[in-house]
Amino acid sequence: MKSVKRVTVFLILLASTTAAQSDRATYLKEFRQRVEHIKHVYDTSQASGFYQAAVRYALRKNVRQADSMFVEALRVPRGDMFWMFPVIGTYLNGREVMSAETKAVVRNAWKTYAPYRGDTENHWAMYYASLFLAAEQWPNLPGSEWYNGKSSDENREEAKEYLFDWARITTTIGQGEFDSPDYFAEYAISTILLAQYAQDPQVRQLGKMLTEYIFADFAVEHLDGQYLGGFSRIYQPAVYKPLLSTASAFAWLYFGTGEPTSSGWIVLPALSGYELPEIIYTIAIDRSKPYVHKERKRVRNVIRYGKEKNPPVYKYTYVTKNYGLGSLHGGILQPIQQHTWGVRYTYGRPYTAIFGLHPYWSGMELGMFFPEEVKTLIADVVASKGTYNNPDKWTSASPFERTFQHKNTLIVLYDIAPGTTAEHINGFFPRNLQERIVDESGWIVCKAGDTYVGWYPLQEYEWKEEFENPANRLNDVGRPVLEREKETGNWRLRSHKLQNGYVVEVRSKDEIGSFERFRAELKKRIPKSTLAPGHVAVEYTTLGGDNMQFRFPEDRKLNGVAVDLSRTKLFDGPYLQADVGSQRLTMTYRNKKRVLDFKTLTISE
Amino acid sequence: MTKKHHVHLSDLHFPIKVICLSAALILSVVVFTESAPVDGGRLARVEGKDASAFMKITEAQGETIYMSILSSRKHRLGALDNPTVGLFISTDGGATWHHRGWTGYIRTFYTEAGMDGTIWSACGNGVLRSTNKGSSWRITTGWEITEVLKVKVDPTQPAIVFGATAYGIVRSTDKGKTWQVKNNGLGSPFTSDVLIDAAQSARVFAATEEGIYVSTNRGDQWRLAGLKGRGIRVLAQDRLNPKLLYAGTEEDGVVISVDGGGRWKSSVSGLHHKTVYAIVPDPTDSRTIYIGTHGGGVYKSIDGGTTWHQSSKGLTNLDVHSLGVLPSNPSIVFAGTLNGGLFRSTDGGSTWQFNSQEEAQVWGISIR
Repeated sequence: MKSVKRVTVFLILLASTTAAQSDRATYLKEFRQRVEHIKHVYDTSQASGFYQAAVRYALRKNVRQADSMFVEALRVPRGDMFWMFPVIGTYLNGREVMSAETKAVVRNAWKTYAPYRGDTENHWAMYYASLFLAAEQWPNLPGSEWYNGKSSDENREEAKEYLFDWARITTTIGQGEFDSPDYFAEYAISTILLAQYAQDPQVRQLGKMLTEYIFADFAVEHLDGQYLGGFSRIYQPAVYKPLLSTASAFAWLYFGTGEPTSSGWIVLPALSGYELPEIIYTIAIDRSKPYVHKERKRVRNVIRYGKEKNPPVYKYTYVTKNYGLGSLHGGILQPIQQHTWGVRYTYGRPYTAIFGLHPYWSGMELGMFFPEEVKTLIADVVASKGTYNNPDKWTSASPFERTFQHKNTLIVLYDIAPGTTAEHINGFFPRNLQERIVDESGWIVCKAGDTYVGWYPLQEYEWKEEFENPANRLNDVGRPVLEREKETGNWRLRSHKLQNGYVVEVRSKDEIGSFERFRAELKKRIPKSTLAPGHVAVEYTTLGGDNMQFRFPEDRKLNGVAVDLSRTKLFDGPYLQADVGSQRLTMTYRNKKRVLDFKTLTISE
Repeated sequence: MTKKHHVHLSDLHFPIKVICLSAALILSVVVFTESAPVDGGRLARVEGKDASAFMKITEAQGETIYMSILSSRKHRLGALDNPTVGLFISTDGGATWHHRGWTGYIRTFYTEAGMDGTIWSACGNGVLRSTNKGSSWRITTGWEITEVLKVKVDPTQPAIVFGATAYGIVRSTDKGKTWQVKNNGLGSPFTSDVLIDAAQSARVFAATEEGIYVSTNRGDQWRLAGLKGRGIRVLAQDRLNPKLLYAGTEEDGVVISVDGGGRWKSSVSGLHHKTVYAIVPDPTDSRTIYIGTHGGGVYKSIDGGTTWHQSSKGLTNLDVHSLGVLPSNPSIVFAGTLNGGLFRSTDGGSTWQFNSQEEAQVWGISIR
């Protein structure tokens, strides 16, 4: 009997192993087809640029044409760290076949063009990853041969020190420019280049581990090509058209989700030969069971008007196969482009998001993060980012906004000081919802395919239909030009009450049945609120029967028990686990486990 | 490749309007543009007003003006013809300006030279040093030191250099070979300016977000010297009477100490704009002081700071962030504005004429 059991177990294991191998083989086959697609697009492109040259070098086709393209692209260097990584990436693809003259032009560029190092995490990642690789390619040169007067050795060591310190702080208290659908590319390119091209084995290993770290961070909050949850930074219109973010291009290449793309951001990764470990893409695509995932990140460096350099950020995301609802705990966590909360779903591309915010701007907010003069910072920012002081903007941090999420229920409260810019809150409802019903109970009930969203405003509000600004053009005072399109516009919920808030419930057909039932259940649950200056609170019992009490700003109770956000781990969910300070990330998927230990610089399975 | 829509500080100078400077433009003449390789192919650009209209007195006196251009509203993201920013030097009283060093935007906040001729620049990229009059440069700091707002050289020991940064104060005692963070005792690390006492260089003052701090051991330890909790933007010292110290504040105008920093007294009579970014005492007359304000342009005092009078006639931009007075001819005063370029007065600030760098943020001016 025992031997029969053993044989049975063996056969099951063998079958599952074979199935896994088959899945992996299928994944890799399809992944390589996507890589070939990218190569083909850029190989046949009539345009001239770094990526067209890089692909030709990589394919060993039309190398002399690639030389011409590369030299032309280097003729007038510009773009700082955004120049550095395509230059070194193109060089690494072509160094064995490019002409001596082209090599000399590249070398001279690193001597004569002085790039700005930047002032934020993605800048520094690109700058130091590129500088490290360049210093390895041209070793033993004196400072006179480099733009910054430092020798090859000095540049290599400085870059290495920065990269290891960045890894240390990221794996200790979290990333500062975290979960950015639009800046994911900058990190992924930097770490993939290190993983694939660094000669120093420590840096190569660090690059590999950091790549897995940021991809795992994305994978666990990924749905159908979209990044889910609250974000440190995102742009309009990607905030309401999620697949426009560069992270979605990476999702297509590495997860096989979203929409096919020929984005330039994935050219160098595609050429690098980097392949994602199986466990990460399976975490990204398996949505067979809903789950709660929590994270702790850190605020971007606060240089003034705050006691702490990197206060914690608490994230909460609920993920299903139909939708993801996610939130940051609120407050100013990043200047300008914060996305505090949102629900994204699989229905209705490209408008697959509903969210709300307090559009806030102030010199004080900018002064927390930028050293220029506080009284002129708004004008400086608006000069390049016309939406910053726009009361209609769709990205913003606000000191007057806080959230409380439990599974697929979210409460958002506002206690806005009089005179604040701006004195209202906004909600985004896309044009292509199948239903957007204002129920007599007060609930706004929306249907997006099999995803249902209920939104209960705590104060009176108005609807505004508005039209997109497809070119993102600005008028002469730096505000977006709104252009009427043929299609129906998206809908803006606006409420001018300073003490304000709303409750959001999200369910899928699988979870609650029909849309009518969802609406009927919501009608039975009317939040109780107190909305006075200095005393903004709400009590609500969710569709799941949990009692949530939330008093602005930080008093959260779930079923009568205080919620202590300070105990939040770096990663805490069924797939990812990491303790604060641990420098260790454990990935788990079914019977697979993969551990990134940054203290020992090892990966174990 | 160009990253569309991404905002970082390097993007902050995207234009939103063209400031009408027609009168200034008529006066402003590009003398010539030189594309001579300097230091491994870097370009030097020379521009300025008609040289013949200016006295060559400063050249004769050996005075050099260092103008730090942080950015320009004329900048277009990804454009090929963006204006050159960074360090400009004039040795003829502002008649011509010669660019030195890096031509791109690295956030050059302030530049000054030590008594040995070494030039130091406070930049986003760190502290830069040139020992050959700006022909070539080295970033002396590492990855840890960033967003350096001011760099100040010890007036008697040129190997000792201080940097005021968004993250605190850094000091080098070996001419930039190594740097140490010196924040012991500071209430807030963000420091806009550092002043090394010309009379006793071990005494150093710091302009922080929470008051004026002083150290008597070259920054090893700091203690509060005044204006607790107030944001301080700039510090200055009278050249003739080193006990006369000035501080410009974010909200509280000017404060003056007559006893070398022991006590500080508010000086706001006649001052209608209380945010003060720049202070420069007349190097030949302790009673005359100029200040640069936010929104009010230049104010002048001729009674040692007892009263102030707005002195902005001709300024088309009233956010004045930097000032300089020529020691050899103190009637010549420079005012660097935020987004309006450099202005020059030849009558002690009574009237101003546009001088150079249209729509530029002239963050720093120093003269040696």
